[in-house]
Amino acid sequence: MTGIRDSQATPVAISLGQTQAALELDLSIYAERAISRAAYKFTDRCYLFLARSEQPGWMKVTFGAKEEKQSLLPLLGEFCNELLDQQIREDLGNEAGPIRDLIVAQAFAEGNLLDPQRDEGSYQDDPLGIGALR
Amino acid sequence: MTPLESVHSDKQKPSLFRSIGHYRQGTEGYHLLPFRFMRWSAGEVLLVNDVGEFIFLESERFKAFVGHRLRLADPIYLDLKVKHFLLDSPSNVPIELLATKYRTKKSFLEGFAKLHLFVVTLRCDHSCHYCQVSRVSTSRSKYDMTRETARRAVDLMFRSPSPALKIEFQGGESLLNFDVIRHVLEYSQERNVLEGRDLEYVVATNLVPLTDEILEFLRAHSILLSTSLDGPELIHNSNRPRKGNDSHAITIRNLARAREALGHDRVSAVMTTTKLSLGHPREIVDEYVRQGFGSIFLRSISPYGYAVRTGEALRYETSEFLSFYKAALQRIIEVNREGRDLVEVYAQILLTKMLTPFPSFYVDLQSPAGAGIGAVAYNYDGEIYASDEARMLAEMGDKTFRLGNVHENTYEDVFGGETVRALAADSVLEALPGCADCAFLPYCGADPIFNHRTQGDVIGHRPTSAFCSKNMGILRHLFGLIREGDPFIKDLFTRWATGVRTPATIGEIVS
Amino acid sequence: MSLVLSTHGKPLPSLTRVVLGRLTSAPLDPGLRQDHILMTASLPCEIDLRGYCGVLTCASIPPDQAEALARSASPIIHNIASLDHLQDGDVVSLSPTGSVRTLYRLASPHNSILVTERCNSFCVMCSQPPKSIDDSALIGRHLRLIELIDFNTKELGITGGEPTLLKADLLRLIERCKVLLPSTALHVLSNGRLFYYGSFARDLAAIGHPDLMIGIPLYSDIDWEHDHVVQAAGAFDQTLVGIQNLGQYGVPVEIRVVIHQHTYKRLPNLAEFIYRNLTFASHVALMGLEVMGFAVPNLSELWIDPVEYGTELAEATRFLANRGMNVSIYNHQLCAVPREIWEFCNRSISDWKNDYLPECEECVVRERCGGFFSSSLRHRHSSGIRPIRF
Repeated sequence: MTGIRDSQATPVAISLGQTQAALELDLSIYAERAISRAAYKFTDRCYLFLARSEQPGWMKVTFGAKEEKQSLLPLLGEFCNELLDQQIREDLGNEAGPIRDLIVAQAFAEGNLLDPQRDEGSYQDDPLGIGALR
Repeated sequence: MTPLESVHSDKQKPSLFRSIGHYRQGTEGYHLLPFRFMRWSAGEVLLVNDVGEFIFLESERFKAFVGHRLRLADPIYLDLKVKHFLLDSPSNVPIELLATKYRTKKSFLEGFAKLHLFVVTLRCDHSCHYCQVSRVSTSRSKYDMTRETARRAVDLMFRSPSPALKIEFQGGESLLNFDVIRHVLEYSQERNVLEGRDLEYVVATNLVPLTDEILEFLRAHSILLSTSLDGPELIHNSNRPRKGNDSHAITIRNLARAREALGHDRVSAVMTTTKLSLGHPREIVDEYVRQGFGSIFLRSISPYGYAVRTGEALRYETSEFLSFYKAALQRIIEVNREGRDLVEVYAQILLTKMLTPFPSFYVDLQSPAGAGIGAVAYNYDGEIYASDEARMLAEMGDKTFRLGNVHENTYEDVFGGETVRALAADSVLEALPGCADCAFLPYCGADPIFNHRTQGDVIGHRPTSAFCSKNMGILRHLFGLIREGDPFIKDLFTRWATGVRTPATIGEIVS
Repeated sequence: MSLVLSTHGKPLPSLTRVVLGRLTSAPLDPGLRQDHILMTASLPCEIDLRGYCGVLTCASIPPDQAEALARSASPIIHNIASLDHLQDGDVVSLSPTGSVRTLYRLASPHNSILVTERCNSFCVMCSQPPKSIDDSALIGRHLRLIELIDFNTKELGITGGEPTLLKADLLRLIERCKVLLPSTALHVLSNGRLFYYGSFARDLAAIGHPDLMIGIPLYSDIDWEHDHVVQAAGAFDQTLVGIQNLGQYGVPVEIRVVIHQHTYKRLPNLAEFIYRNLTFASHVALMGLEVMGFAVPNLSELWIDPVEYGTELAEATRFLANRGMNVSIYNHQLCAVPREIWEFCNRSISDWKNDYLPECEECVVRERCGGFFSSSLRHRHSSGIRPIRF
């Protein structure tokens, strides 16, 4: 297995062999979940193995060919692109996930979780001052 | 002094009215609201939110958007805002609107099981290659549902809280046990005097056993018929062999009688795609036009019953089905362009999810899956299964999705039992690997029984799933047609998605 | 054509407070008189005037008779220039100043009750600018009016100002309409903001009025654009929640969009927003600008010729109609609207403020055309007006 290791400069290190290839990924840039979700999408095309890298804070993804003559290099490129998208999904999940939970909770809630006044506020008293004259 | 007077008299004073800038204050930056995305093409990304609203973005804009760098001045900004992809104020009203829309999209869950399949017999005069479970047998006692079993099933059905219940008679050839069909109808009507539900009846039949007496009964009770038509004579007869090799001729002859008696639109048809069908998309569509149908349901073969037993000879790849589907859909669009109304039912189901705020009530494409919570099948022998597919599986010796027996179990056993709970829990797309982050999630559904049958577990493996690749392929194709922007197709799709439905497209279609 | 809706005469001193009554020109049996105001051409010494809630006459009562009549008969306004604009069954109010105001016209399909002049919004094109006066005490008169309106009235509007500012009193009024006018469709014009409180929508629904519609304006799918038009921060959110609440409790809602310079561009977007978020709306009305009230001083900022927004109007209309939503175009002239959406145009302008131009006489679709607001003809109208000849 020949190794290309561009150490600290990039978040990805590649090594490529005949029937195996590996990527090492910087976990401060890619979330573990993004890596495993990206890997899942390739499980029809090659064998994948996820492990902690020797380098602390990095993760190693090993690709195994399913057939002898399978070229792994294009897969690595595709994987990196997929990983970028999965990382966006991860960030999106962190930002919008709690809102998604709130939407689903509100959708099936009996009362109003967002503003109790929408259910219980007295229109006669108008605590929010909506009826104040302009 | 009234405000109006002040406007007139105080011209030199500052206006009573504030500028739009005053009301736009505080819109610095934005939050992302939940959505999913996929790379549509090299330069474009498709974004879909949880309630099925979608937008295409150029890749660069997408990058700016998710990086919180999109400017208000960008024309796409307001589109993203009003479609609830971004939130740029402290208001939580958009969240409330999304919650209401989400509830509407999930309203198919209300009322629990609405579709009740009665497999009244397994006997059939046909021996279709793809047929799941039929028996060419004359032994009445062995494969027919008894009146007592039927009554028990009806009693269970009425325990479902749904205000609307749909009863579908299945076979085998259901009309070979017409006595029990009549009995189910009479007994359910009798009980309904007190129950007051909205009952609907559909008989799935090859039309062969139709008599004048049966037709009169169906007419008197406004019962819908759903039959099978696989294409022109050669294809139909090859797919649906029977003694005399005259299935097509009988179907067409009795179709005319049925329409005459019940009304033209009271009879619909579905087709099943076999290996033979693959090469004849146009001919099949044209046969539906020739026979005066308003809809066609292009269905791929399912991995149950004979379809599996007969093995390789009938199997085809999903990619082959997709090519067939696209060609057939193209022909259907042409037919509409020529001025004939013809709906493709599967596209209609998906387009309803894509282009309207409403859900589809089609049980085979829901999340959580409709099996057990949206539909249930009562087999001829009283066994209860989570779906039609589940009872076919049972006929093949796998009773994983058996929910109980009408003679032995209570409603609580059947619908509150472990099997139903597990089926629902394991078919929530948001929790399924490969589905959870798929842009098409709001349009798709889970089929745990298919997964179990083809991949050995209810969760399934998306990268190798035929269910996944078929739905991805069709959805991509439909989005592609919408994206191309042909105004006729956009209007046609809107009509399909929103328009008055033909009877065959309400709810579920049978084999 | 402009209708006379008020007149005046000389009151006798017995008219000490505002009186509402239903007009009759024929003397009635004493038992039926108390809700009626008698109209009489000449002063009829021979007619018994007792028991009516009022008497109107064009005749002039000589001072010597006045004193006696003021003591013995109903409150009288005399010396009225003309009563020709009034007919039996109309409801009028008589005030101690001698004015006779028409509150309800039996012959008109466009009757409405203006229940308050106060408003919590301040729309830039408001045709009936609000006043900061406390008119809440007038509820008694409105309730009385309901009692006097003809039982067979097809439709009745409730307008303002903002009717919901009456809060519980508005509900009382609607409740009385349900009891006294059960076959009259009731149409309430409201900005919907106070229905933000779900309890208000719930109490309204609980009345169970059989034919009620709340017409609520929505001017944009963008919060700040709507807030700007109604000049109230937060109004968009309140209105949307209000509409949702009404929908949740099953009260029919009509969405009303007034089209002007601030609203025309996003009409198609607004149509999509309504379809996706307010699908349950019973009706969507896309309305031309009425050049009245605030629209007059703000006209240069608001005006856009309807011929210039035909594309947006057609697109929005088609979008909604193609999706099964009930949509109408109000206050537009057919010649200024693309022909493909003529079928959605309504004759929506109330008769008392509706007019046509001289060139309209030659137009073959004049009978189907909504015509103009009389006020618009005084200020500005579309440059596209021309008789259609086919």
